[in-house]
Amino acid sequence: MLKITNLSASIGNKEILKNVNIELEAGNCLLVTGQNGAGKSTLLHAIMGRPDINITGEISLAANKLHSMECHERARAGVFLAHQAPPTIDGVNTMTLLNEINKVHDMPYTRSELIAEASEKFLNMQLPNDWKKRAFNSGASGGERKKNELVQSQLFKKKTKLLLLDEPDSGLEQSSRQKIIELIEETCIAGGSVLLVTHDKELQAKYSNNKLDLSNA
Amino acid sequence: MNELEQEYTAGFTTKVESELTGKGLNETTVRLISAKNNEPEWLLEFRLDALNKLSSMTEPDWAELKYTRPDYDNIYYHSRPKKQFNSIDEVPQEILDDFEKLGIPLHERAKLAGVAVDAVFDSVSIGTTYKDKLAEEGIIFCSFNEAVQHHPDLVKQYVGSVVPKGDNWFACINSAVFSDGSFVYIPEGKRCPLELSTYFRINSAGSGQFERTLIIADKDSYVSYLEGCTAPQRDENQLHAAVVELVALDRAEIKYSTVQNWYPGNEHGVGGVYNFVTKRAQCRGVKSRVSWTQVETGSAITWKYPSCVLQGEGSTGEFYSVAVTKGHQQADTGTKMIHIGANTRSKIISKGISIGKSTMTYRGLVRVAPTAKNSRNYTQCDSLMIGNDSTSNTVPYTECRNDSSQIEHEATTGRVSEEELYYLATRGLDAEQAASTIVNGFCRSVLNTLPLEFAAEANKLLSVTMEGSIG
Amino acid sequence: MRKVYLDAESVDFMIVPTQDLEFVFIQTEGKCTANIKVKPVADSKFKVKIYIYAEGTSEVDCVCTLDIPKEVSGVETDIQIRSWPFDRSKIKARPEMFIKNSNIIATHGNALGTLKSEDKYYLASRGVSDYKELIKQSLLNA
Repeated sequence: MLKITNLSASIGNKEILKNVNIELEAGNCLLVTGQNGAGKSTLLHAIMGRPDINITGEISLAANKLHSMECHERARAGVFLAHQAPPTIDGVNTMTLLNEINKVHDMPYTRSELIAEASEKFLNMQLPNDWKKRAFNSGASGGERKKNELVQSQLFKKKTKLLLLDEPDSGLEQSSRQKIIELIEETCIAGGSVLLVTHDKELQAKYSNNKLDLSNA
Repeated sequence: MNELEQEYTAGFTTKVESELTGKGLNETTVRLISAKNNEPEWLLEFRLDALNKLSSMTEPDWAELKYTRPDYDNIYYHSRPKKQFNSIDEVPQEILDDFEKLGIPLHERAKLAGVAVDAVFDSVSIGTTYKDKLAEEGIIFCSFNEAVQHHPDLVKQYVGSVVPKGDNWFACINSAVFSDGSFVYIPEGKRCPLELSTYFRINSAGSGQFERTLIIADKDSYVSYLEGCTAPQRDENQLHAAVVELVALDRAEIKYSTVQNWYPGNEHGVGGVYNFVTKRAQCRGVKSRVSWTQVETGSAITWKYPSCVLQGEGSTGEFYSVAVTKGHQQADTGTKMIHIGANTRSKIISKGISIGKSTMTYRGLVRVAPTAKNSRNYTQCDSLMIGNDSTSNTVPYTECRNDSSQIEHEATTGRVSEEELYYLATRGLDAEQAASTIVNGFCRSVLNTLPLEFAAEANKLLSVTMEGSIG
Repeated sequence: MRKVYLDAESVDFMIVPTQDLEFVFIQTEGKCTANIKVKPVADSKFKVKIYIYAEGTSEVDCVCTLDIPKEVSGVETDIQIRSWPFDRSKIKARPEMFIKNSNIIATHGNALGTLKSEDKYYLASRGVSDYKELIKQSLLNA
């Protein structure tokens, strides 16, 4: 269960979120809406623990007090963020990074299993043949970066207790929407929770029964 | 072949009697210069100290330059027109006509153009226009010698603080025998309403020019300064070893632009100016900013690296350069950006064009100290080779001692592509027009940073320089 | 062709390239001085990539010189140096070009820096806090 109590968040001098409260039972998806600037992305990043966001209030995921944990500790506790604008990180090889993530999650795959799974998923997403060997997101278009996020989400879904999706669909074609829905279902069935930020009308319609609107803050 | 020397349009000599004094690099010469300028004791000490330091230094030989060492003992270190002038109205018409030929707006036109000009004619500043108007704002713009007389405290506080006497061989010579130059002080909060301009000219045979310029921008001030240079044809090489020091305090901004067209020597590589200049800016203040913009087409030998020392937190240094060498010219030029304070930024855009048998070397240094957290540099350094006899060298030094900074440098070297020339030919341009179009495009990003007054002059200079180069 | 140097002291390499080249320097301690001279022959086309990783108080001083004399025509080359100066290490990089023939296309790039804050955040959001190890492994394994 995700419990957020009186969360306020600011970046520099600017206050972005004020007194946000959320109680999300395990196995549920919460749709986060609001106009541009309302703080939807900021909410996800505040939960993830981006260093430049100052918060007051509490964020708990089951027994974990996230608000007093560092970003990478929160990731290891099962928080997974699909970034809206993933960066290019030269010098960091894509497959090497996947290996590292596998390690911090105590090796859900063996090395060869991981390579096989990753290769299959990259192929499935129609990413270029040399994707594994490239530096992370090197030469990638916006859509390719989002696909990369989706593949990682799929690979590590079993370790994900809280899935944060920051506009996972933007820049992708229709077929990806189905993959996103599958990911949300599988995460919920396995007992995890999902926070979804999206402008896609169909996804919004599908998850509108459980909604948090940040515009009225 | 077919690489013609465009007739050097500024190659005329003014017949004005100049007084040549101070032959040879020695204590007598130094004392002579100091006495003639009526300098206070501390300044004489400054000079003598430099002369002393010089004896333990040796002339550098690491640049990719081949030249005959100047005979320092046979140079006259001081030259001025024999008569003294108290105001611009007293200056002989001949000298004023000279400047008119060079297109320098010393008269009313200058006022309309909003340019205040300080003209240096062989080591002495010939009147400074509009200094009264600027004085109303508290802005000081005068010759260096005048500043020593009327604002000694300011000069004493800053001279030699950006370029120490012993910094390098040529700066050391300058510190001993500097003649005159410009002095600018912009007080706190003032934005200088005019573009300040100085025009240099080397006239007398056997004289070097050792001007010394000092510009101080106090907190929250702004000044744009234009420096243009030209020199007559001579057979023996003439030495130009200037020192320019810039100081920018908190949130101040200095824009320093140069269009340099010193005589490059004839088609056999004889004569021409040796241009060995030390230009350095200290961005001392928080969020201070200095930008150097230069268009260099002249000189037989060029050795200059306008630099920025980025001390103040959040300060910015910029360097924009177009350099053209042709005939037998040699240039070893570039910039140094030294990042010391946190969050400092630097940007370097250098465009070099080498034609004929010339040699163009870009030498740059970007150094990030351990204290320069979160600093950034971007360098773009492109070279265009025209014809098949020139040499293009790129020597970029980068040194990083900080793990949160980013340095990025890109460089390309190549020649005008056949495809581009062909395309333009199919649109009716002949070889020269096509090459000119391409060269202009190549230099565009730098030329766009020049103040308007200079942009026209720079564009003209560039096309004149390029004429007759394609063959 | 790929060469990896682990905590080397001095590297002197002269090469007439017939294929793409890759040099990796990983320095965890001490000082490494590397001199790579590239002397291409006419009409050769190749890329050179140099990766420099330094941590702790180590130092790397790398000069890569491209030499194209007047007689050598038709060369197309790109030289890239990418350096990561972690901790209190010092990296000097100097990609030089001395070119006397204009019938060439020569480009080079030189980038120094560790990780931008957004890169660090991204990796942290994946549970990875040991960036140095990640880059070291990436350089060794590629």
